[in-house]
Amino acid sequence: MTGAGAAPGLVMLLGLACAGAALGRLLRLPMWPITGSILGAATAPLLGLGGVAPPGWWSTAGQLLVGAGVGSMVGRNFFASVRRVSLPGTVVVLAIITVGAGIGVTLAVTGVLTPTTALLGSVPGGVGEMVAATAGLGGDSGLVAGMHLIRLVVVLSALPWLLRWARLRQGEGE
Amino acid sequence: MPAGVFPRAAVGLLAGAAGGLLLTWLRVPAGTLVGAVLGSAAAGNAVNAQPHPLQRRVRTAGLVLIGCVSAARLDGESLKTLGLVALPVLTGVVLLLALNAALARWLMKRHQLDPVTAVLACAPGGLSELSVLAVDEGADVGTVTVIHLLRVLLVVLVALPGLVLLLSRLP
Repeated sequence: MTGAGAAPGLVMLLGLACAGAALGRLLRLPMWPITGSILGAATAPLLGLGGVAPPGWWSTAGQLLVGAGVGSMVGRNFFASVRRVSLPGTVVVLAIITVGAGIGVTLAVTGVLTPTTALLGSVPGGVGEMVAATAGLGGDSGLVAGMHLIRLVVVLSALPWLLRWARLRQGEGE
Repeated sequence: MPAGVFPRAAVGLLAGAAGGLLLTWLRVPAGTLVGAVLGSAAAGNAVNAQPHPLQRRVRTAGLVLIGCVSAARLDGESLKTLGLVALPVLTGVVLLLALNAALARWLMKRHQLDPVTAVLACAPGGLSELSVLAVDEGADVGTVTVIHLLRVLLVVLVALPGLVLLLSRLP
């Protein structure tokens, strides 16, 4: 659904996302602005709004708002951090990509998913790029988006426990 | 709140938008987010911007918009298939979380990062979400953002082209 006829659907979709975020805040969901809005907007197909596709500039606007908001909080240490953590950061990133690709290969080899969907849905990278690449290779881009959404929601929900664990470990070490 | 805080915060945010639009126009991978972070950080430092509620509201609005766009990619058919493969996919995410814990411990021990920064820097989540979480949790935002920028750039510039090449050659 595109063009002017899609406007009421888009307003409804945004309304569902905002309502989900508000409910998430009320329920103290971890990272409620994103987890709540995802869960809220994901109810759209249940209300007959399954075909509504937000225009591309919504994604651009979202990234601009988040990036500008985050950049304004990073302070003077940001550019020093680039030099300081480049090497350990590369090790961390290579480990995450390798394990993600390994999970994808396992899902493909065991026949759970096709190789395209399994690999592009399992490597933790930019969701938009992975979904676009899947569509270009003729895979199920909706499914790949769903796999990344599951990862995002589960990781953001688990992080408070991981943070508590890390603080405890450091407390024991001191 | 001292006078001039709002205009300085607004300058930082506008510079972020300009930086994001510039890198988007130059077609830099993940350029919208990267450009916005860099533009806002550079301008914020130049004008000595202080924390202001506007910055939090802008981030929240952006996250809601991103959540909305992400969820809209799912249709009924994809949701059905996702239900069928949810268990193996969840198992994979749990493995990534275990790796998250191991890598965070390594960064804490070997590179003396504080626990919050180490966990958030290694988390297999999204760059936007984890950068915001780093601000909220009082982590070293620079370190968390830099490591996730590296992840997105390595995936987009190295891993993704490799995978596309490999997958397009499969029968």
